[in-house]
Amino acid sequence: MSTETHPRPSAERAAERAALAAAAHRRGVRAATEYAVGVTWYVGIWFWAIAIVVGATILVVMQRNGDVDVDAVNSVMDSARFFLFVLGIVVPLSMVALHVAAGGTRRSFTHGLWLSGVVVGVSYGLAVAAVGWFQWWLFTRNGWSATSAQHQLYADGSEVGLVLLVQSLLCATYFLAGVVIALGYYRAGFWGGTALVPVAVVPAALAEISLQSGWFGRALADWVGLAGAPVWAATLGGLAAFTLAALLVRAVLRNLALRPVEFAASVARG
Amino acid sequence: MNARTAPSTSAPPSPPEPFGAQLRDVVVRYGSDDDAALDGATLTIRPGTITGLLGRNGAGKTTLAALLAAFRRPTSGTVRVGADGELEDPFENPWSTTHVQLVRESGDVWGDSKAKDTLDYYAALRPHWDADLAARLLDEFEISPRKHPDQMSRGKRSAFGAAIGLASRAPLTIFDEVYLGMDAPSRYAFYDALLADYAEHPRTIVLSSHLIDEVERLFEDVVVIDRGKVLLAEPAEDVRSRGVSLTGPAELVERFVDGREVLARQRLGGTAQVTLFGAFGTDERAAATGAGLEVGSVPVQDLFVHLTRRPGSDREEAR
Repeated sequence: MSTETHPRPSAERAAERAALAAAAHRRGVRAATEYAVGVTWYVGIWFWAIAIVVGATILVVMQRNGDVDVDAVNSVMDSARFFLFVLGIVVPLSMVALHVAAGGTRRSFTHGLWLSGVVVGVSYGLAVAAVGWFQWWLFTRNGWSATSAQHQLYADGSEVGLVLLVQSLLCATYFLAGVVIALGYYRAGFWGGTALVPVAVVPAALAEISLQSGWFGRALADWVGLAGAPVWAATLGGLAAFTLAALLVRAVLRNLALRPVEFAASVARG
Repeated sequence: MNARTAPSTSAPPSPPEPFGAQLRDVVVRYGSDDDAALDGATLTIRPGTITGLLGRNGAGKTTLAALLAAFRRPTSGTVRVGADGELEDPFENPWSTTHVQLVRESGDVWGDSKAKDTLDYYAALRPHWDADLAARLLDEFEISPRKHPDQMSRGKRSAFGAAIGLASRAPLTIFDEVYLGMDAPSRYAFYDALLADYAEHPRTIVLSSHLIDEVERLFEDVVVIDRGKVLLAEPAEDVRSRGVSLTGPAELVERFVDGREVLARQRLGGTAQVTLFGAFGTDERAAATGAGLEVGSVPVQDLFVHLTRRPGSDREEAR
């Protein structure tokens, strides 16, 4: 029952194997992306349905009271990134062990999560922009004030491109920040994971400051003296935040040791 | 949750030749103060064989399986996996990981979504996935692909994992205690399916099990691990020839025992069967046969119990 190491494979064989390994990597990236995006939108349909119903209800109540305020409706729509932050925690935890068990690598899982962040960020950004534009149209048509007091980079939903840019970057960064927290706990346990939480929220805070949007983004930007930064600088800051989150995802997944099945089952059950 | 991935409908490509594995001086520690789960383990798994991986609870079987499947890295030592002549470090090596399948107890599956979602994910990643075989096995184990694994009994969930392992057609497939909770008919259906598929699609199977009596007929090689150390790794026939069983009239049998180490002794009326440890020479074998005794090989389980027995602590556990 003993065999020893044998000669290295020929160049042709090595090339064939490299091609198969590359195909395996692509399969892993694609499967992870399709599943993560699919689940995020499968659950996200309910988020959007509830958000639209709540936004419409607030609007109807305000309209009956004769005091229509665009910020009250915006607050509901603007919460998409927090929803994605939570899904960023839940979805990869249920996937990581199965992905490796199915023959995927941590690297393909990392790339799949990066791609998922982009797809989820842009698609949710599109949804926010679409709803924001409809809201602006409705408010303008009815002669209500359609300008939000919260946002600095865009004044109202008519600036569709800017809303899409800002919300896409925020949603994508928050999703990956959630991934970092989840896999931080998976990797390092309770105490190590908790210690990683402040690191994981740095990209989200950077995105808020740079893009100056939402409830606390403006306050943070004011605090660090970045309020009023031009759009290009804000975009660069948002991209830097996403990149930082992506690098943190790679760091927590690198050389990750899979936990026993019982652990994976317990986190999947929540 | 709902998977969006769909299995390929075209015929899967032919798998490469069976994979083997080598471990050299492998140590795995889960914490700086913990005892080693594997402590200098060195062994070879021959490609194209069914290898039984045996050990008591906590012996290090699951850790060894996790290393082969690149679920984790060793603390020190080397792990190599691959086809004959192409052994490589499997960790983060897509060539290896895509060709090695580890099925852990209760499986790595999505418990809260349909079984079909899990199958779709495996199908999307496994290049040699056989969807027809998976469907046939689920049918045989009476598992609905629409059912959530969390709603399945432990046995059904184990059978689901077994079906995934076989349908993956991976050149190295490792089943770690996959039988747990399965009833006897399901276990035998699994063994039969494993043998049939192994004969049709030769590959390397590593089977970790406590039900040694049931599965030893499948083993071509046997690895016994105890407290993180490899006690033996050799062909099953060599293991069985490490001792002998003698059956016949009690007085005659006792004459051949003659100071040897007895692993097991059974007596029914005037007939006795003893299992002896140690080589039994050709002359002795001929003499025993000539005297009318039935001479057989040692059951792997008896040898396993003998090799891993801890007299003091086992009595404590029994209490």
